[in-house]
Amino acid sequence: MIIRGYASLTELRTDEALRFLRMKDFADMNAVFERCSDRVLAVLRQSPPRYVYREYSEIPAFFTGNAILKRVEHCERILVFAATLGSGIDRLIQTSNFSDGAADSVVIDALAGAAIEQVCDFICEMFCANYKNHEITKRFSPGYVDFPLEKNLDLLRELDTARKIGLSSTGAMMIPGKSVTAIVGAKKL
Amino acid sequence: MNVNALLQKNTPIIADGAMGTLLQKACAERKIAYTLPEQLNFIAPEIVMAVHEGYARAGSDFVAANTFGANSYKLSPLGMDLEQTIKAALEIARNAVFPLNKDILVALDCTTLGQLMAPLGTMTFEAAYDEYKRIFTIAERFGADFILLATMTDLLEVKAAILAAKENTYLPIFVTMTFEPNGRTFTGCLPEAFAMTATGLGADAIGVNCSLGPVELRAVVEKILAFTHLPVIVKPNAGLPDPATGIFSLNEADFARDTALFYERGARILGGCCGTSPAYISALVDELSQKKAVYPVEHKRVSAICSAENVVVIDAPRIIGERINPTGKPLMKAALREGDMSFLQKQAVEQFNDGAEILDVNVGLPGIDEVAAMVSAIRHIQQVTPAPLQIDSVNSAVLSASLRVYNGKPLVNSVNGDDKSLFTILPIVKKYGAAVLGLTLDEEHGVPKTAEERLSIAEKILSACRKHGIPDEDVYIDCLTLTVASDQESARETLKAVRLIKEMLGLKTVLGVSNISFGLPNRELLNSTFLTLALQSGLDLPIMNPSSAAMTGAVRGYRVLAGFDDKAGEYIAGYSGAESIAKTAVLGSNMTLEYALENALTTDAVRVTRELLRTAAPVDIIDNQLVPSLDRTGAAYENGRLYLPQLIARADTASACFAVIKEKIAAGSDSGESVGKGDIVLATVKGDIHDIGKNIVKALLESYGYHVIDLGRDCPAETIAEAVRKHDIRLVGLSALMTTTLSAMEAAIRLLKTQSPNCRIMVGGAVLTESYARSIGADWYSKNANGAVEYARKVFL
Repeated sequence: MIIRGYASLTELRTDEALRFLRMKDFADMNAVFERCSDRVLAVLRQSPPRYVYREYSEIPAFFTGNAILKRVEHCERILVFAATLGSGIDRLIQTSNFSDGAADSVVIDALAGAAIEQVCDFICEMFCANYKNHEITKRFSPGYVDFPLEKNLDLLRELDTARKIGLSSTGAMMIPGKSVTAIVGAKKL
Repeated sequence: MNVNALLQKNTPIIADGAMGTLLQKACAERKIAYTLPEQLNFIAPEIVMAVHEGYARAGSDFVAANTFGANSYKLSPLGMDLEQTIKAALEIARNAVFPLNKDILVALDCTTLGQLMAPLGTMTFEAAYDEYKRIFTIAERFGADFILLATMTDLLEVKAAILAAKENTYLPIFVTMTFEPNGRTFTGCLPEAFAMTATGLGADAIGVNCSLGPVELRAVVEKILAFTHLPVIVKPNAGLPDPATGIFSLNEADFARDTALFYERGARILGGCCGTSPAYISALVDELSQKKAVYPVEHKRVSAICSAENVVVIDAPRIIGERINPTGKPLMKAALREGDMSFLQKQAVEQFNDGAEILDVNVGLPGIDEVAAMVSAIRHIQQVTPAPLQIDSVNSAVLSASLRVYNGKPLVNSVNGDDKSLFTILPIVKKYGAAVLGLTLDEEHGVPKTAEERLSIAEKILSACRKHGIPDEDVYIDCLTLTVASDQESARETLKAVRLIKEMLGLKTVLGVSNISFGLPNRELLNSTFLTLALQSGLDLPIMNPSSAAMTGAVRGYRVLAGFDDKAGEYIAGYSGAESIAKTAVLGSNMTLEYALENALTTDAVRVTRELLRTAAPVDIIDNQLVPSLDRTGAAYENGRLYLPQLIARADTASACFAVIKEKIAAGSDSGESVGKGDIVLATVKGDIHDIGKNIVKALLESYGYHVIDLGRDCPAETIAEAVRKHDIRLVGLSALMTTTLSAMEAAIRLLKTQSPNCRIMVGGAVLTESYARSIGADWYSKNANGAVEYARKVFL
């Protein structure tokens, strides 16, 4: 069964955004970060991040390669999920380049990167809460090690993402841009 | 029965309910595995047939064949044939309903092709159109009664599908979109925008399916009903799914009760979506039998135009931004000749931020391909702004091509009182469901002197529009502003014409305002005074420069005083930032350019540059102040004393200074020649829509005074090669972010090397390495934006 939902973000993890930008601190860009955070949050308030997931008790047929199979070996449940910030953020990254310049655009891109990570954390925490006495494996995505990127198309089809959350792929990249697909497993302790 | 007869019924028309979940359930019981539901048309047709039978017995007036995902994008990877799949599905549906003898129609079910369209994604309008054409012609050949296009999320894809149906088949088309709890589709489309666009394009019925339950959909349905006269379809889910179990919240009776209410509000075609079953439809039929027949709902006529995300209702004066027009603008001319759409995008974003609600787009320039330029301009501008557009051309080929790809309902500028203009342009306006602006002039009279004569031309235009089936609310009249310096009577006549046309014909009026002051000093004063008078005379849409504070202020002020701006909310919002601007100006009164640049204070840097330009030569400012300051910034970044966003912010500031200098130089010549240190073409290669890296490089190069021709993202090799050839370019920068698009980069380099062997090519992007760059023939690998500047200095030594 495919479950879909919305995540609500009230603040952004600027520390994560700084890390993406290889910045140790805000330097003299406090105001820029503040302005950009407000804009990202405004877009996400109007159109909240969406996610969709499906839980499996057996390894799904489209998993291939040693790395992922080993990762979910002995897992009682496997969670496959996809999340997206939606196309409003893609547009914001573009328009900010024209209205406030490339610096804002770069900062917004990083903040949006942090935001989609926050959504993923939120999904994983929900999963965690349901499997308390379990070890939760680290997130794994198509394109890692020997799990080919092409398998992402199977994953998207499996979760019916185009219809459920408006997430599609050109084969090479996901659209909207700020989107993540991933797999975690719950192993009985 | 056919669809026309069905739509004539004065009782509710019953659609069917969910298909996918019922198939899933039946297949689970019988242990049948499948990837796409369409495979069942071959491996278990009896299961599909049973679902149709269920709905037919429950009382559906039509059933949708099992073809929801039947398109090449979905079928091909599984080796399935499109034609065979559609044929089989239609046969199954026909065989299911035929024995019941109830005159039930069979629809081709169809949805999004599953690829996001440009500009959000990479599927082109033409590719979507071609695929829908294929699907619909097959459906017509194998006997579908009509097309049911459902669960759509992108308005432009809806448009491609409606045009494909109308231009290639005789099949009626019903269209439903799916909306989120925020009242928009995934791509941000509003229900009102969908309603007015699809209605204008000639859909036969429109509405909503899936998304939410009947209660949550009420607001969306009301909005659709308010913006269409077509039969409205509502196919809700059975409430909302439980997040843990996925079970829907409404039972049959509750669903029927809530859904039947839509009939009383004016919706005529009702059914179900996810979570429903024949039992739900049966309950709905029972519930509806107790509802009184609703006669066609009075449809309120509203003047409005839209993009997918933004609807502008002309119920108060609205500003049309005039700046995307090359007349008298050398930099705009140069950008159009070079195909640099980022220049137009910037103008669009600025005008929208300054208060324009509609943007005029004119790309008419001798020697350019106006059709291609307009199509490209519309695509690029719609990518960055939600403002609806006024497409400004009198060339029918330009209008046809651009109305086709415009996302939403635009305003066409313009027709005039000549038969030739009316009978060439109006059919195009009608076909694409646009609104139209008529100019009160004709060949015989030119611009008539008196208001009465202008009224008579407006009457002729209105009558021609009616003949073409264009409703009155979509007709706008430009009463024409003449230069007051040459004829002082003219201003009074124009104002009188505005009043007459408004009162006698009830049409919305438009004026290009700034013309009034041509040839006189202190133009802004005259413009805003005239504008105020015109608004008082009933002007609805001033075409003007929204960045003129006095003029935008006149419109905002008028809206407050005339009672259009409730509690002066827009007025207050428009001026709440004014204080901080004043503060910066005071603080910055003694600032040096160096200080402003090295602290990324753009407003101050621009002001200081303007001051310096009064006394210093442009080249001195560039060589002695801008460049040394940038070099210091660049060095600080290389040494780790500045972060990347800081470097870019400083480059942005320097670029703003260069723009001021360029304007000053360009003002002295109308040639539109570039005035920088060298021309550089930048592009993100085909297939790649990541352009942040390219934009950073652009910011840095421009800050050093290089003239960048920005060809944007997802750029075909041919476009790059052509720009290089045409403008004799010596340096090209190509960017690619993904391993999958490196082949496109290689192809572009190969083409460039053949066609323009003297042009240098630099490349950059996350996945590139120095050795790989060399192996695909690049002349320079730039590990960051500074590297690009370093190479540009070498090339333009």
